[in-house]
Amino acid sequence: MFGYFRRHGFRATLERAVLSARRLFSGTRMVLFYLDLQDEGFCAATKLPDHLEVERKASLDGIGAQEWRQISEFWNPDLCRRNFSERFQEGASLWLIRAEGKLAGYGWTMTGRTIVPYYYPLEGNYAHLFDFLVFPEFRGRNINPLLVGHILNELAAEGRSRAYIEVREWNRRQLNSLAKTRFRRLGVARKATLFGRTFVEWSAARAGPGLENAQIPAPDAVA
Amino acid sequence: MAISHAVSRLSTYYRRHGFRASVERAWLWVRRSFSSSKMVVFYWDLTGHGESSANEDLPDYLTVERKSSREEIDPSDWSQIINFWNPELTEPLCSLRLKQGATIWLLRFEGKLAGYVWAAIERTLEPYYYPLAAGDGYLYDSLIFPEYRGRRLHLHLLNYVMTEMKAQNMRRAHFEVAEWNQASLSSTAKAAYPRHLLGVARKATFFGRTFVEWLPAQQLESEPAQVEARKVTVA
Repeated sequence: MFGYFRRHGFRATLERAVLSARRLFSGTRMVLFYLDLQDEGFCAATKLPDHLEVERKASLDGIGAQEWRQISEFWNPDLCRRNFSERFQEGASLWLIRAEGKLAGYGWTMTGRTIVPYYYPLEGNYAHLFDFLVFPEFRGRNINPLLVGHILNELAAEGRSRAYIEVREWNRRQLNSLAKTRFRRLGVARKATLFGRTFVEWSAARAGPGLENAQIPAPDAVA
Repeated sequence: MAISHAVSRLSTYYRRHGFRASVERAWLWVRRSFSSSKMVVFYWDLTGHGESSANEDLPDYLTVERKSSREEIDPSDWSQIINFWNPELTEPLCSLRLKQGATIWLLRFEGKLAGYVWAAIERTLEPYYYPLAAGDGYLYDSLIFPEYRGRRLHLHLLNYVMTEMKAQNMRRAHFEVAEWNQASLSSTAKAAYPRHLLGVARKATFFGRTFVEWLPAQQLESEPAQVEARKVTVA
């Protein structure tokens, strides 16, 4: 909060605090999606448009100084470094997407396990996709679905059987972005972990149009 | 509703088995209600191979029939199924399941009904521990009548149904067993498809919302039979 205040001032911080409080009490529900990567029907974009490239990183050292600054300063640098280091130590992969050579966003994957307990125990050769971000100046260009599509292709090629991803129920932007992929909705839930026990509440899904089943756009369909 | 069902079940049990057996049964029910509502939740991977062959034919003396409506079930079979427990509760429940799209697989031993298992595809009729996905089947409420127990009939039935599900492009068959039911836990590990234990959980549904508690993984791993099952690998 302090870092946000320093960067954005009092008014924006107050608005942000109110938003956080609202989401804390009413918006902790997540919409869960899955995709079977070895299905015959799974056919993601095979090639990114020429102006986009994706790189997979397995450690902090693999990220260039300038890009690390861009990533870490978008939020709180100290928290970001700690968070990223922990994830890399746990075996997660960071996928950086660049548009015309500039870092446009990123997303994380973890295979065979999750960083924190999932909504139910996962088994098998699966991948969990989480924490996707497209920097504001690159938004509205279909970058997130293309990044997700590229990652899914790579995971499918690695032989992963299923991918999971979840989005906050209030995050219409992310939900709309996910609607452009082949992910299928699993359910709506919230969870808490206390003393090693995970408590999950499943509720009736309230999804927007197109979220049941959507397509990963072909590269030539992307503006 | 739950209390009236429990009272109804107890009174039926009393009429059939007498006072002493009913007291013992009630005590067992109380013990299980308070300490053993935990279920071991798992699925069989229909794309792999387990301890026995999935292609193994049923022995000549066994046949399995799939029924998807009340009308398809022979009246004497129906009577046997609903009268095994409390008919007042079982009949509407079985009828409802069939109306809602569930199927019942009947196992016959030399032509006589020896047991059954219920199956649903890609959904459960009641809230489950997690939503089922495409390619997921659900097996539940299986029963082998007492006179046919001890002959591995349950395993034959499960293997047969799972192979049929696989033929319908199902990839997983989900199942749960009460944590106290060690016999069933051991038996289900020997199925023709590899069993993947997901965890120990309990659940409750209030006002349309399902609350699930997943217990720490070590509780599952402390069970010898289940640890053994974890070693089964996907082919």
